[in-house]
This record gives sequence, structure tokens and C-alpha cells, in this order.
Amino acid sequence: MAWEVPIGAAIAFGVGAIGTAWAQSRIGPAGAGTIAENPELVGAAIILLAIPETLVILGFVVAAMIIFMI
Amino acid sequence: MLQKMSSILVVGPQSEAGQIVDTLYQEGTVHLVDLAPGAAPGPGELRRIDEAPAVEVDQLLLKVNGLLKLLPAGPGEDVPLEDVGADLRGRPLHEALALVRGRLEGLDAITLERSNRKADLELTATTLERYVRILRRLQPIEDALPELEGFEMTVLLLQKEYAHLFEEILPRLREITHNQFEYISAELDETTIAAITIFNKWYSREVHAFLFSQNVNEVRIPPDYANMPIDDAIASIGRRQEEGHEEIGRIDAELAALSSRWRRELRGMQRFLEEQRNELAVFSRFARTDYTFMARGWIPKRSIPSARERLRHAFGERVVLSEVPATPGELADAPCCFANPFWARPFEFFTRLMGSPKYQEVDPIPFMAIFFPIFFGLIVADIGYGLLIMVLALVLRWRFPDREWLRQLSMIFVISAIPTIVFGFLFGEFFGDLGETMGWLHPVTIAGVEWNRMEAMIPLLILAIAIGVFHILVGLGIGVANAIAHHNRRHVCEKCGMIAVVIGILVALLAVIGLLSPPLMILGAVLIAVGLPLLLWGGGVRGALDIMGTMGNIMSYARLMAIGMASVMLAAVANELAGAVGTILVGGLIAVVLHLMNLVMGMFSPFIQSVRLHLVEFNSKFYEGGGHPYRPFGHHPES
Repeated sequence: MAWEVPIGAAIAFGVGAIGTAWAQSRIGPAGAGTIAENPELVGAAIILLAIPETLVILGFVVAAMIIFMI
Repeated sequence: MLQKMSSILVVGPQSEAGQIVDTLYQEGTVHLVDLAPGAAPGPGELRRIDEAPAVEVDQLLLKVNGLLKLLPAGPGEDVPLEDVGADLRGRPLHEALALVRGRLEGLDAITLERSNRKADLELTATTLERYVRILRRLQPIEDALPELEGFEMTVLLLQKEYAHLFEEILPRLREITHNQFEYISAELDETTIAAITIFNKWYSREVHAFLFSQNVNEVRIPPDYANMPIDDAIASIGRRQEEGHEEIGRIDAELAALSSRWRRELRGMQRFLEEQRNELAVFSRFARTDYTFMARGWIPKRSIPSARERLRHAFGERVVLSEVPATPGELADAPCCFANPFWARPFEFFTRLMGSPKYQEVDPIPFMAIFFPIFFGLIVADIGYGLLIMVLALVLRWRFPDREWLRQLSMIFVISAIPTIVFGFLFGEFFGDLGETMGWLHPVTIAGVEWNRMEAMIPLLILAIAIGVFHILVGLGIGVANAIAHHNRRHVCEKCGMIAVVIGILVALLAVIGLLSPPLMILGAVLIAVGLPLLLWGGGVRGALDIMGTMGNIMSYARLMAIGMASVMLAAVANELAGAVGTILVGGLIAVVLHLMNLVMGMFSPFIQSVRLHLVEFNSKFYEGGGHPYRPFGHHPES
């Protein structure tokens, strides 16, 4: 396997993870504030926190495709 | 699925309004609506019912609740005395309230007096206990105390978490008293630290003023005990404590006797008063003319015969319950009452997160009940974890039988544990690769693929995406059904167009990569060509842009494989680490800790991800929400 392949996969996965982390770092405090105001919204806050995980999942899919299909 | 609801109107004589309301309350199936929102109390053809005297009911309920708190509950004493409720319900409200007031009068005074006395004695006992502890601390310096003529002693108490304040207070006291100051600090009990301070009386005023300004809790030994030898003082306090305990015992016996005589009757009164409070709270929703009382509401169609029978039994033909045709606007606002089969009922828990569906919408709960456990099982997919999750959920259900939400949640885990075990068997996983390593299990081979999650990444990814395609198409199909129910042609076209475009793109893609025969690419192109105009007409440019969103939604299902793989890797690492350690005990401990950690993550993360796939990816294809939950007027225990 050429060296570009794992590097490419790492970039795909890593950038996705950074994107998710950045988004969750913004949603987390907002969610905590929301729960402090209205504890009944805890479920909604957790779901909102899970939404940006799509980015890292897609990054993972692309990384897997790079490694296994190229 | 949702029950069929009927809009009903109950009409009866105004003179029997109270009894009619009470009968509807006892029936407990009518979801009331405001009959005359624009009407005001006072004369007129149709008017609201004046506010009923709810204050007195609230006051009496407060009193009964207070008495129930003060009187200790013995075995079987919390069952309401049915005769009391029946007797009170049979009387006009003012007469029933007067009766309750009369019954409580003597009991209220004696219970309060005995409880206050007990509280005083308990407070005294705590104070005396504190004096004893302080005196014991003083015992070692007792011989020096007579030499302290002209000195004053005071004890400062601080909570342990504020003990650092002594470091600020004591030097300041030394300064105020010009160094004529000594102290001993010691732990008084688990939460309190005491500093016994002795200083020159000359500075008494300044010292106390300073301590007051610092909000420090000061204790002075009462002169009775301060002026006698410490041993005698401790003995004297002991005698007083004993007397106090005896009196507390006597009061407890009296309260227990009162409780066994009154508690069940009080529970009966409490139930009656709560009913009256609930009934009075909704009085403003009813309406009346000079001679007629009216109530309007929604009731499940199948409950109508029972409600009619109860009214007929109580009032004969004087009160009529009739179904009235609802306007489209009223139907849109009708409450939704779930009528799901037993296996789907626990999943009604998710309405806490997404709100209730509208009455005319397709209820998403049965779909969630089918897909959620599959998603959860596919992610966790481990026989060992599945069994543990099932056991934990059953323990939770058994431990908290009264909390409805927890019962529902634990049942969701129990149901989800079944596909977890099934997929665990398919993937050959028992606490990660432990089952395979020990030779107990082996991944099953289906369609030429050995479904080992650590190796068959691409087949699993394809499976996850295929599940995503199916799930999203089901969502779009429900969207079509909803649009047809609402007679919304544009939405029907939008959803059908999206289905055609999604299938077209997938067929074309599969034909391009050679998984389908190339001529099928033409079929894909035709589907896109047919679907796109429909999508544009139904949803406009936003609808067309939504194609990318939908494809993103489908790709999002890759998490079913990705998170599951992370879980199995962690489990494998736990086994690997445990195996690498030389001793069985330490290795076993490491394995247990890591597997427990993985189990907790395995319960939390797959749950959230499966919920998310439903709430974000699936529901966004059809779900409007914003409906009103069915809240029947009646006695419903707290959940």
C-alpha cells in the first residue's frame, strides 16, 4: 500500500473528527444551559449533541473506502 | 397507532352540574376542551361557570396532607377507607367540606401539639449531645479552669467544609484580645469542627461583636452545667437525655395510636379532596345557560358506550352524551390517544423526546418499535452484553415499579437485548472475541460472507447503508400516506418524487460500479427524470436541494457499523489486555472493569445513536408532531 493511502484516510477521518469535536464543543455548553433552564429538555439536548457525529461517521466511511477500495 | 376519537357534548340540568362533573371524573375517559373560550361569567345565553370555591378545598387538603405527614404510617394504613369517600361523594360539596372540617378539628390540634413537643425534645436532645461532646473535650483541662478567673470561654462551631475559616478567625481573635487568648480545636462529629476558645473577659464585647459579624455559630454551655464539675454536668445531661427519650417514646406511641385510628380515614378524605380540587380546576371549561349545563370534549370511540352507561345509571335520561361532528380544524387539534400493541407500548417513551404526533398523522411509534431494537442490536451485537443488558433492565424495572418512564425505558432495553443476542450469535461475539477464542462460537457465514465484524468491514458498511435506504424509503412512504390523509397533492408529489430520485440514484450508482447490469442504468436515469419534476413541483428548489440531504441521511446509517465496530474493538482490547497479564486474578479484574465500561458505553451510545437515526433521519421524512396528548379528566396516579 502506497504511503498516500493511509495519510489520505487519516486526513478524511481526522478532519471529520475535528469538525465533530468543534460542533459538539458549541452544542455542549448550549445544551447544558438549556437543561439548567428546563431539565425536561435533557432528551432533546442529548439528541442535538449527537447530531454532528455524522461528520466523523462520514469521515470514517471515506477513510474505510480509501483503505479498502484503493 | 392512534385510537379513533369522537368529539362529544354532554348536556344536563344546571342544578346537577356538580354531580355530572363528578361522574365524568369517575369515568375518567373524557379529554375536556374549553366549551366557550370567548364567553364570560355572568348573564347571557351561554356563559362560563363562575369560579367555584376551590380555596376551601385546597386549605382542607393542605391540612389533611400535613396530618398524613405527621402521623407515622403503619402496615396497611395507607389504603383509603372507601366508605369515607363514598359518604362524602354522596353529599353536596359544602356539606361534605363541613363534615371534613369537623372531623379534622380535634385531631389537628392534638397531632400538632404532640408533634411540636416531639420536635422540641429532639432538638433539645441534639443540643444536649453537643454539650456532652464539648464537655468531654474540656475534661483534660478541667484542673486549669479555676485558674482562669477573669477569662471567658466560648465554643465556635463550623461545618467541616468551612474549617479553613478558623485560620482567618483565630488570628483575628488573638489580635482583638492582645494575645490573651487560647484555643483547642477538635472534631465534634462527622460534619462539625469545634474550637473551644478562652479569652480575657475584658475583650468580651469586641470578641462577640466580631464573631457575630463573621456569622460564626457560637455555643455557650448553660450556667447550670458550666458551674459544676464536668463529670457531674455530663451525668446530669445524661439524666435529662434519658427523660427526653422516654417522653419521645411516649409521644411516638400516642402518634402511632392516632395513626391506626385515623390514617385510613384521612387517606379517604385526601382522595375525595384531590378529586374535588381536580374537578373544580376545570370548572371554567364548562358552560351553562340558566337551566342547562354543558361539557365538551374528546373521547376514544370505544369508550363511548361505557361513559353513556355510567351517565344513564346516575341520571337516567336527564343527562345526554351525544357525538358531534368535528370540523377539519377541530380534528387537527384532537388529542392523540395511543392504542399500540403491547410490544410497541414501551416505545411511547420517545414521545417525551419528540412530542406527540398530530391526530391525523401516522403514528411513528410502531415503526420505532420495529426498527429501534434492530439498530440497537446491530450496534451492540454481543451475546454477553445482550444478556447483561436484559438482566440490568429487568432489575431496574423490578426496583422502580412506580416510575412509568423508567418502566418503559427498561422495557425498551429488554426488547432491544433480544436482537443484540441474535446479532451477537450471527457475528460470533460473546464479550467481544472471547466466545470465538474459547471455541464456543464462530461468526456465521451468509451469502458467502463470514460476518466477523473485525474483518468484514465493507460488507457491514453495505448492510448498514442498505438498512438506511430501506428505513428512509419507509419514512418517505409514510410521508406519502400522511400527505394523502391531508389531501395535500404537492406533498404527495414531493415525497413520491423523492422516492423515485433516491431509487434512481442508487440503481444508477450500482450499475456504474458493476453490481447491477449496465442496462439498468437507463432505468435509474428514467426514475430520476420522472422524480425530479415531481420533486420540483411539490417542494420547489428546496425540495430538489433536499436530495443531497436525503443521501446524507442514508450515509448516516453507516454509524450502525462504525459504532458497533468501535464497541467490538474495545471488547477485544479488554480480552487482549486481560490475557497479557500473567495472573488470572488481575487479568480477570482488568477484563471485568473494561467490559463493564464497554457495557455502560454500549448501553448509552447505541441508544442515543438509534434514537437519533429515528428522530433526525427517519422522522424528518414524514413527522410533523405538535399534537396534543390525550389527558382524560379523572384520577390518574402520578407516573
